[in-house]
Amino acid sequence: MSGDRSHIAEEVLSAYVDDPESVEDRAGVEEHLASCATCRATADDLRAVMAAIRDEETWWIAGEMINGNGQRALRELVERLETEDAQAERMLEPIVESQYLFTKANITRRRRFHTGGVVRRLCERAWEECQREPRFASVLAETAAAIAEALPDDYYPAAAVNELRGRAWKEYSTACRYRGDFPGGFDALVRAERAYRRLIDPDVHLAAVELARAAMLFEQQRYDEALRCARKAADVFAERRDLKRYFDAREWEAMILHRLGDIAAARATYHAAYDMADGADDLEMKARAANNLGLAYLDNGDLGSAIKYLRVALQIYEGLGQTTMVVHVRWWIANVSLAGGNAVDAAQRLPSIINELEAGGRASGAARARLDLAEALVQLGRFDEVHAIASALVTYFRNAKMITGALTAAAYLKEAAMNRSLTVEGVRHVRKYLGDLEQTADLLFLPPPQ
Amino acid sequence: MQNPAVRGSDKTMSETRAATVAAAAAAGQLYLDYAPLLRRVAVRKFNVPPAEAEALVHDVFINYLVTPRRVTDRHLRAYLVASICNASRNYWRSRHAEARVFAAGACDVSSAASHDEVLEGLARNLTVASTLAKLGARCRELLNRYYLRGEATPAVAAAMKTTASNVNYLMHVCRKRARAIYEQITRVGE
Repeated sequence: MSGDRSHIAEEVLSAYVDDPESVEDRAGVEEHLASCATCRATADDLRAVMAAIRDEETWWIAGEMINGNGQRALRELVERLETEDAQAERMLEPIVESQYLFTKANITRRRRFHTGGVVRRLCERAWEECQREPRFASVLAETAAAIAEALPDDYYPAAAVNELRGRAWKEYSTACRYRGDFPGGFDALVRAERAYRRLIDPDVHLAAVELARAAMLFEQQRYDEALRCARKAADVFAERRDLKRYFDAREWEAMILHRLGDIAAARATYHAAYDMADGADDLEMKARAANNLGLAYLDNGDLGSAIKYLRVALQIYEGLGQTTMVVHVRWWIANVSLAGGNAVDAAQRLPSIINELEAGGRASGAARARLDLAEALVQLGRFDEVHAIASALVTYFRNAKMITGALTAAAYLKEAAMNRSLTVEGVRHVRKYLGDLEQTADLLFLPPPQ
Repeated sequence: MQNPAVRGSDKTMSETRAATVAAAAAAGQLYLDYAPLLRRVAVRKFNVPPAEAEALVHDVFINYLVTPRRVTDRHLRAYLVASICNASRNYWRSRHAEARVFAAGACDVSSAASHDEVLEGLARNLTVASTLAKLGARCRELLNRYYLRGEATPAVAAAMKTTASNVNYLMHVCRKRARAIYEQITRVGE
């Protein structure tokens, strides 16, 4: 029965498991199995192997191991993507650094630029350019979307060309947000959704659209709607273990909560994002989290912590060359000085910040920074300069066709400065009014109570 | 996509080519590592027909490869399982048979990706598949006809242009070879 006297030979056991009738000494085998746990375990193991051999799935896996059809298709796709990216890099390098050259090249009309690699590269460039030059970012992303839409539906297998289309429209919406073109941005998000829904697994892409929508609603101060979108996106990213984007979504959620006044909840999330970015060596995320932490501490009156995190953010943004963010962080550092009663420092910092905001086409930001400067100058008793600032605000509001309450508020500021009756509270009252005006367009300006 | 290797101007063409080949090989390995699990989820959890499940798995990988990488390797399994779950749901939705989807139950990523009953026996199937892949083509055909298709010995003999007694002999030899390979694999695995 066996080479090893104490157990049944595996060959015999195998034949028995396969077909008990085929074994000569069937009764002997069964008698032994009844009393030998080791042989019973071996028999069970053999039965499992036999079941696996009879399973169609096993043969499919074996077929893939032998033929490698699935693997080959993926390898070919990866090679194609890498080649497309390399070619796009070469074709776009001479034109993509300058808006003039890029516009002149008019690549939408040139067939050789109609590739997935070009769309991907343009999307990357648009994202990089959003901070520096949102108008150019719009041009890049719009071109990417036009090319992606022109590609045939079967450009990639599995309708994957829709990933490119969705990505391009989403980048375009981001550029619109940076430019303040919210209708254009929302429309682009609808187009992105339409493309993503054609994918086999659209959920994670749709969550990214939802997050982009949250950002847009945030800019419009529609915080409740923004909060719903950010949370919805965070849930999907958590389910998909997409940690980076999960923390992006949570960060937006925190910023919204911050604006809604729940500073403690906001700060806890910022800290988590900061720690995660630090661990993951993600400088952009770290800078953003540090910046947000700084602002949360500033709002809470913890100026020491505020300045600590804002300096971290400033250093990183400078290193990354994100000039728009550099100016903004410098502005917030000036605000820390102002909140700490160091009006001299704030008054020194703010003029260059105002100039840079204006040079970058951020006129509304420059107007708000002027109010901060006015507050510092009022503290220093330099009313003539406040008067000049108020005059500049009147001009700005007139040019921006804000001829109702905003203009009245600026006129109040100008007159109170001229009379030297303007107080810090008066400046803050105007600042608050202008903030409220963004939400309620027809809000009337009333001077602060004496 | 991850940045292409050509970005650095100091890279030579051969380095670029090597990076492309390495990325392609990694994609192939990724498929081999995860396709059996994803196919099983589609078939057993969502009752997707096997041939269709294969196509779904393939599409899930394509979509993963064309999407910018954001998921770490540690979370890749959960990501892909969630992806095949969504793809399977959409498969039935597109066939207007939502009732079947809900009958199959929701796909809990964490359970489906770890110790769910869906996973039971998958490791054994992978090992047996490796064994079959290492067998000669004739042995594989024999075992396939006999065990998977359930053909009787005379039918197998006719299909393989041999005698029934030779089929019995071949069966003995092939099982022996398979056992040796299986033992070798499981010993290495240990």
